[in-house]
Amino acid sequence: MFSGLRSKADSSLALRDRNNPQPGTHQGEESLPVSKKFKSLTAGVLQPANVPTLEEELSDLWRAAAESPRTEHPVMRASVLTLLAFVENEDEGRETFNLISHVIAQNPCRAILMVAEPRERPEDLSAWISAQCHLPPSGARQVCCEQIYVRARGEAVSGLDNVVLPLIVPELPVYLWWRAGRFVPPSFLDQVLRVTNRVLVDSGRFEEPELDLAALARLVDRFRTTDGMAFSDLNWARLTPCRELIAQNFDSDEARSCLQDLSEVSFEWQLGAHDTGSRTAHTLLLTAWLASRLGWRPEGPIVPNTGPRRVLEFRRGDEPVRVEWVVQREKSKPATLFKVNLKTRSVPPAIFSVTESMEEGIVRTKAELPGRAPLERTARMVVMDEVELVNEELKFPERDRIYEEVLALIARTVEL
Amino acid sequence: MPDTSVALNPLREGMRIRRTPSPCSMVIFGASGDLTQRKLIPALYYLHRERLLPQGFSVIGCGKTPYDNEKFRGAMADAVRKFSEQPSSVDESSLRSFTESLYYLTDNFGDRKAYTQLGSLLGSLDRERGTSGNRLFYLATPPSAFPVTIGHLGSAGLAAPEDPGKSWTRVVIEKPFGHDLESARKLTTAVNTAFKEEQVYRIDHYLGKETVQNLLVFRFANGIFEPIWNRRYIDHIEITVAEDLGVEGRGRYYEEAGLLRDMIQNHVMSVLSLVAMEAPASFDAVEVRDEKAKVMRAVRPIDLDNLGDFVVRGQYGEGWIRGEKVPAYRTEPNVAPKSATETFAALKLFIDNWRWADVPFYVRSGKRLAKRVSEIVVQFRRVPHMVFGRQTQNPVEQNVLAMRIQPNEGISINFNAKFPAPIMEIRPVKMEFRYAESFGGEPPSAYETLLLDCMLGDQTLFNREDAVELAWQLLTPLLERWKEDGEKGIQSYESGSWGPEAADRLLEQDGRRWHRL
Repeated sequence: MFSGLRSKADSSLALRDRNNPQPGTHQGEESLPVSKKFKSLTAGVLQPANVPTLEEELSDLWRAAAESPRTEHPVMRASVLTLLAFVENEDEGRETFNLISHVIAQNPCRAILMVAEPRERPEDLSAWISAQCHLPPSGARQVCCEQIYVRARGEAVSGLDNVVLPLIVPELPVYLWWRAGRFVPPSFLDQVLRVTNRVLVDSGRFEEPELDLAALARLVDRFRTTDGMAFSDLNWARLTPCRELIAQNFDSDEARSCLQDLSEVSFEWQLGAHDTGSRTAHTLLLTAWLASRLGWRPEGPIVPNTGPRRVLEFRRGDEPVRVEWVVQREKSKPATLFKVNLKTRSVPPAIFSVTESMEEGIVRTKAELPGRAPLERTARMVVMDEVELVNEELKFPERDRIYEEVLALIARTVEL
Repeated sequence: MPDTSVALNPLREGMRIRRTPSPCSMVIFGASGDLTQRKLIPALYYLHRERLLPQGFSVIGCGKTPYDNEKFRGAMADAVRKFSEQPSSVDESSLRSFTESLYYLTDNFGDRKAYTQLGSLLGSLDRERGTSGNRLFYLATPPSAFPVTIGHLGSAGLAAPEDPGKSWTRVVIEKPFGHDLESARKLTTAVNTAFKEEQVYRIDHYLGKETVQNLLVFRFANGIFEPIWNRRYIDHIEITVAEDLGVEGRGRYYEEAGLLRDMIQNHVMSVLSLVAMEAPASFDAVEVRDEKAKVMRAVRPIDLDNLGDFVVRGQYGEGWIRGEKVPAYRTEPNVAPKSATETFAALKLFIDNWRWADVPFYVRSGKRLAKRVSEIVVQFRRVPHMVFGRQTQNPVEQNVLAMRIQPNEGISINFNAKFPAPIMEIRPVKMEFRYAESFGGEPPSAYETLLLDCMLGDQTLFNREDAVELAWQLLTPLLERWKEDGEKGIQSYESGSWGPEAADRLLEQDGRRWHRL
């Protein structure tokens, strides 16, 4: 949805530092230092979340933005989706507010941040609006998007959906970015989930990946069948380049025939400065992906890792497939950040590897087929941050069936 | 036929958007030339960097320049650093890895013997790098070398797939595809002796641009536009492809080519066919290209007896561009002082079918115009009856849909709205969509898109022989007439203007004017 904006100037327009948004401050506040790329316009204070008032304030804000003497560039209001974000406390709320400012530079949208604090008192349901503007090169128009901050405390959390639903932009897709720990939606979000097209979670934040991913699998199954909802996992998205590189090894006819003969797979990673804390979840997802794609049957449960080495047994037909996870705890001489090694049972074996080099952002692949010189190459491996991952996921409205299969396999494995 | 071998890889299933071809070798004839260095190698590097090239992908550069592998790799690394659209994004580790996949053969490729050596190298790459007999031949040589190269590829047995059904061989031919109808047909005959049409990729980089592709999405993925995309609602259509550059040291080439061959025959006619074609049954190469050819067949031949009513030919004089004085075309290096070569052309075309009968398509293209801009403008008819005639004095403007191809790619719609006042004042307003503002990020370059398409076997964005010949069939009589006329009828225009005044009159005679760009 796009519209040009023109109206008289409004002296209440204020600029805020996008890195320091302050929901709840007052109208007419002086300009704060702003980022070179963004500025935030706000027309409100944290006040009772009355939808007509919020809509009215949004209109005032746009009029002010369009004709403020401090607005150097013509303003364009843009929205290609509604992005809902859910957090469970105000600290996460502030952090998420900042992240959304970056997201909307790539995906113009109306963003509604829900901060639910059912245990907090006094009971309160408040909201605050702002517009985030992406500052363009001189002469071009600035694209502005709305951010609405809704905070619910105590019993008032049950009214959160009544505020959010009318603010959703009609006819555009609705994404829900779940930034709370586990994905366990409370009942007061039922109505919101009914209109959501896609949920974004991050299993990298899960404390017990095996159990949490299995629980997510059950929820995905329930929501998918009842509401036709799609799911994205930012942690799964982090693995996309790695999965692509593993897959590319098997594009030639000769290499592809090795897939059925794989007998040993090892994942090796290093605990250290570059560790995101989600390597276990990564490895679990990668293992389950290979198993589900290649028809490996799990032979036993996946149990929480207690040591530096873990072995998982699978079977393809009658043939065993051994998957080993190795955690390097040495920090002094880090050789690799993450390495995947795949080996066939033939003699001599074919060996394929994908290695994230410590040289930041570089990944090396190597294919060694019997009787042929090894094929090596280096490609860029961009480590995407949370905002980039969300931006990437917002491009895809459809269900990721491969991810759903992976989750289902993890759930089965945990239950063994 | 689209490449399906990668689809057999179970690990590929469900992988998002990343289209990776099966392992292959690319042979570039004219590897030390400008096109290779400026466009092809940087595009291939970016594909490599983004992990879009297959494992084992190899390039064999062919040329007379005496390079060895190492020198060629060094020269191509320099080319990537120099000609990348974003030099700061060049990463040395991945660049080194990319150049390790480059090989070079020094030889006279006008000679059959050179192809034996090429065949041996391709065979050894198949064995050592797993390229599986898949080959892409890219003709980046001057057009005069095309028939010889193609002939030798055929006679050396390199044109046919090594293992039909399993491996593939394709050839990419750069424009111009001939310089008139006869030469285009000769080239087609030469190509057909060695390759089947499904192996041939006639590349027009214009079709690789995101916004040109979006034309099809705009028309056929939106329910609201197609029902009014016809003579009943549309008054006329304008297509402008304007450059502010001159011939930039290419005087010798331009003297032979001229604007009509350089821009109209390919870029403009391709855009015209996408604007005017019927909906294909699917976004499939055969379907899309069938519809493009069908509409090209319906373009009415230019009326040579009343040329002035349909065509304007111009040549730039001196003037000012971006604050600098620039010379007249005839004083450019390697240009004849009395040159009759056109640097501007405007045409009024008609498409004789049910959808477009009597709707004029005004197309214009030129060098040294006021600014660099490519845009398609669709002007809708006036409302049948003006109900506000008594209340408003201002003429009410017709609705306009403008699709900007470059720069600032996007789409805008002008419509009328009531001005907020106690009286009935009607003003035009503009609703605008811009790619950069809505989607952000940098789209891939046209060459990245098209090279990947070639490797994947997707011919949708490439010209088929019938479309090429139909464009020549339309324009060759005009070229011959201009040749006969010599200087007669060529209009001079000031550099930095919108072309000769006669181009304005072309529309004025119909009670219209060019949309302001």
